[in-house]
Amino acid sequence: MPESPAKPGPSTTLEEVVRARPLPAPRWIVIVWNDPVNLMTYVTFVFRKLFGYSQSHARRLMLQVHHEGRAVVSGGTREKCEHDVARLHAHGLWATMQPD
Amino acid sequence: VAGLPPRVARLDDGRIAFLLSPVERVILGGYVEGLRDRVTPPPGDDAGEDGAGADAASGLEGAMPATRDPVLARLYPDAIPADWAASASYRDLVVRDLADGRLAALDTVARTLDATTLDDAQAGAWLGALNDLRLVIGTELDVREDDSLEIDEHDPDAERRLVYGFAAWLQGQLVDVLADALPYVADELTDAPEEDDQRGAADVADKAADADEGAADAEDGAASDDPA
Repeated sequence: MPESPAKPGPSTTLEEVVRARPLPAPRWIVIVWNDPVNLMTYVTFVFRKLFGYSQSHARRLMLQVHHEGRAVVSGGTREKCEHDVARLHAHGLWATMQPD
Repeated sequence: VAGLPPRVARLDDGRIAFLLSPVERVILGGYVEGLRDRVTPPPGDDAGEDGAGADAASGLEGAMPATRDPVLARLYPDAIPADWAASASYRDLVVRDLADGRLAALDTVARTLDATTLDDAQAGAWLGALNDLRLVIGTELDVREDDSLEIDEHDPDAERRLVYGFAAWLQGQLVDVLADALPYVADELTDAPEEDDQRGAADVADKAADADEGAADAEDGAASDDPA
C-alpha cells in the first residue's frame, strides 16, 4: 500500500510529495471488435445513443472498428467499464474490457 | 432488396410508419418467435439459480469459451477474455438481465406484429430483435463481411439468407429514423476523448478528414447496409 502523503515541511521536496501520493485506481478501457454482422449505421447509432458521442466522433470510432478491427470506445473505473460492456452486449456489439 | 419501397418513415405526428406486407409480417414473426429459445442462456450460465453448484458450472463455462454454443457466445461474449474467472463472474452478474431485455424486445415485436405505426420504444425493440435475429443467423451460417448478396435458390439455407438480408434492410431504415431522433451533440464535446492524451495528433488528422464529411456522408448513405 502506498504511504499517506508526506506532510510538506521545510525538508520535503515537491518530488517527494508527488511520489508519496496514493496511486489512483487502475484504469480500464472498453474495446469494440469488428464483426461481419452489425451494420455500420447501427454501430454508429449505438455509440451515439449509449455514450452521447457526436455523429462524427461515433462514425470515426465505427470506421476504426471496421478498418482496424477494434477501437477503444470508453474507459474509466472497472465498474463503469462493466456497465458499458453490458450495455454494448445488450445491443449485440462484441465488446470486451481490459486494464489500460 | 434494392428497389423495394421503404417500410419505415417518421410521420408528422411523431409516430413511425411501419409498412410491412402481410407476408413479411408472417415470416419475420415466425423467425422472431423462434429466437426465444436461441437467446435464452442455459441455467448453467446463470449462477443465481443454483447456488454453489452453478457457480462451479459457470466458472467452467468461462474457462472453456470454445465449448459454448457459438450463438450464445456471440450474444453473451466474454467481457474480459484474458481473465476467465472475471468473465464468468461478469456473466453471472449480467446474463439474466441481458436475456430478459432480449425477451422483452421479442414480446414487443410479437405484440406489434400487425401494427402499422410504432412509437420510438417499439421501433427500438424491433431494431434490437432484428439485430439479434441477424446475429443468430449470421453465426449459424458463418456469414462473412464480403459474402455475396446473391442467393442461390438451391442453397438449403436460401430462406435464412433471404431473411437475413431483408432484416438488414429493414434494420437500416429503423436506424435512420431513430438516429434522427437522438439529441444533437456538438463535435467539440466528444472529439477529444477525456482519457486519451496520445490521441491529440490523430485527432487533428481526423479533423482534417472531417472537412470531407459531406462527401463521406453521401457515400455512407449508399453503403448503409454494409456490415461494419
